[in-house]
Amino acid sequence: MNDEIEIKPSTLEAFLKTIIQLEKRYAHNERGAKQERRSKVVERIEEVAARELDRA
Amino acid sequence: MKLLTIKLLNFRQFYGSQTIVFATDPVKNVTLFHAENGVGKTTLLNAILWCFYGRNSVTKKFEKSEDILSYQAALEKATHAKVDVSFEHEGKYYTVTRRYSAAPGTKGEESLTAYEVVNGNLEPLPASDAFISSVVPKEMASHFFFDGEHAESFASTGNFRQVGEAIRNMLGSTIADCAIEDLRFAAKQYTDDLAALPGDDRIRQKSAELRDAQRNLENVKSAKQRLEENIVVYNDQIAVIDQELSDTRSAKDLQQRRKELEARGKSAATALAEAERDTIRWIGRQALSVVATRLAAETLHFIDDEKLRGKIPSPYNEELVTTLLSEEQCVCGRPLPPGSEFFRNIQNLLRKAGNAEVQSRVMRARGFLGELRVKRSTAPKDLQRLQKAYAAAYQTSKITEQQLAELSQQLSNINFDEIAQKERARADLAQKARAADREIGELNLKLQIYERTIENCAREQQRLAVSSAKALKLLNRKTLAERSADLLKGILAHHEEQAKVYIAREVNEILNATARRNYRFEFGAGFSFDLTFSHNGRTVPRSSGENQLLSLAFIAALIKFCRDRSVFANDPILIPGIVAPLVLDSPFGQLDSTYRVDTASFIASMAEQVALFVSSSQGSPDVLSILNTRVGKEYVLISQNRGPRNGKHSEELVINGRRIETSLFGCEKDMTRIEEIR
Repeated sequence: MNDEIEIKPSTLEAFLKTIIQLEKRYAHNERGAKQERRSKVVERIEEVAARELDRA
Repeated sequence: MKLLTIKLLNFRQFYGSQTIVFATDPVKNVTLFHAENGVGKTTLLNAILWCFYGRNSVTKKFEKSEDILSYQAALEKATHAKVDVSFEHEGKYYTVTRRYSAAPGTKGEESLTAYEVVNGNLEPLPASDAFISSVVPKEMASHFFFDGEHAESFASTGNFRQVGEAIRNMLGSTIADCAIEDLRFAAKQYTDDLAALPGDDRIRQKSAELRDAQRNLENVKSAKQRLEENIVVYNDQIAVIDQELSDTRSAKDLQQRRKELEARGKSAATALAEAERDTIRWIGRQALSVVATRLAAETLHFIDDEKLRGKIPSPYNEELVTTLLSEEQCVCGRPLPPGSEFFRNIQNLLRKAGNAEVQSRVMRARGFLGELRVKRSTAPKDLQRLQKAYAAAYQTSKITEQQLAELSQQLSNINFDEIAQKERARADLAQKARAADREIGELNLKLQIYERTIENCAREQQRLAVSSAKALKLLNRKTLAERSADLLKGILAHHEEQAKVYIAREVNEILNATARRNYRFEFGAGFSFDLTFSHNGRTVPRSSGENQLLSLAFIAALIKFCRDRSVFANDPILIPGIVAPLVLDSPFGQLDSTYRVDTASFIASMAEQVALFVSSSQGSPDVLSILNTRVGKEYVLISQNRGPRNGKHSEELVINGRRIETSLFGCEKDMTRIEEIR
């Protein structure tokens, strides 16, 4: 929907892989994992955005 | 994964140490358990679930899941129970042990340890939970280890969410689903941050607008999906009512027939009354001619005879005689002096003299008697015709009365109030379906509006954010999270569609082989599904037996789908499928005898290893006969009771010609004993 912000397909693909790996690591840890997992997701977003998008 | 053994120690009613060895032969792959209700079928199924996943994953039927320790063992001051499940997985051997420990007066504690069996030694594995989940993910387990209730309700009408969840579970999309949820959550956080950004009211306002529009869009999408699912449910319910009403269609026919018979009865009664009136009229008109036949003939003869003899009427007229006497002169001119003999002779003629009235009377009498003779000739035929008409009307009236009495008897057994109630319910459902359809149309319009609003807001937000570095950063992060979630969602949707095609094909193959009629299973919007008649495409009104058959077919398709996916171990997004045993508790509950036999013939092929729990009513001789060639191991669960029988009926099973008493009294311990019979 935000057509004017460009994200390279390779960036998106790599980012997704990272997220899936992260999710897999937390998959069997039920207690209190949700908040921690979501914080980690935000961390990854921050990393990729800072590296690939903010500078563009 | 293939089950090898399960060892129980003081687990619920399974007092002491008891072991089950599972069938592992590829052909004789079925382990069959016979047990009557309440003896331990559900407990055995749940022993596996409890061992693998703990008390939170047992089935609903496993009541008081915190009571693990056998009552008998507790009486003997035992405080430990455990379940060991040994299995083979990808060429290696493992044992998983869950222990239960309860110090007196304290809440029991559970612990899990998974071991790899190496050269006969048990080597503990790190992260036992994770290991179990890698062998049989918890979300897939409920489709491999399930009870009859699950088999009955799984594919029942309106259970779309559970079906969708099952497909996603077997597709291995739980990780990706979680990722989507987390990414959307992050995107929402960034949207909120943008909406709360200090300094620029326009960005804040636009971001708030965008957030609201996105929220509304999601709400509308959910509402639309609910309505679409509701329509499928309404149509299914209408189909069921139609089926029920078609059973009462004969009642409507009877009612219609009664109306026709009542009309015919009325018409026959009218005809009968008319025939009676005609007969009375006939009697009035014709009876005299019949009864007076002889009298009329003799009278006519008399009149004619007398006439011939000149007696009737007399040859002289009364008026002429009176004139002669008054003029005292005869017609010949001779005088007739009163008192003379001649005068008296003429006067005597007056006694016999005829006049016009007498003549007229004689003529009328003769005419009447003549008519009687004519009537007499036609009267019998007329009477015969009337009698025939009367007899026909009488017969119709009597037959109609008899038929009405029979109909009335039949109709008295039919509950017309119930039929009317069903008709009203059907009309109500049809009305609801139409209303839902209209509402979907309105929601589609709303969807377009929100989508356009979101597009405009996003563009405007982007334009405004360029001027604010902080806003742009937030926007970049939000966009990354949103696009990743959308991409993942798109990939999953593609896999889900492929899964639906696969499952529908498998379900149809099973139904073709087992169902009594030609059905076609197909998915609709989302995970809604419909079972239709192949020949006319109309929705099948499903009985509970057909629901159970469909559920079993569905589960068989899911298991096959999961097994086929087990080769995709390196899928970047999806968890690979698994090969696991199928453990079914009372799978034939709602099936009639024919369906049981048909189902038994395919159930053994549903998985590489199958364990079945059946009661004597489910394990009928024909079912056991079908299963016989596939059973590798067979057990009977025997209830042992310390108390006396107290008049309770003896329960026994006859299996393979062997008579086994399944309920014993006056025993040393209260427990269920597992007895191997094959």
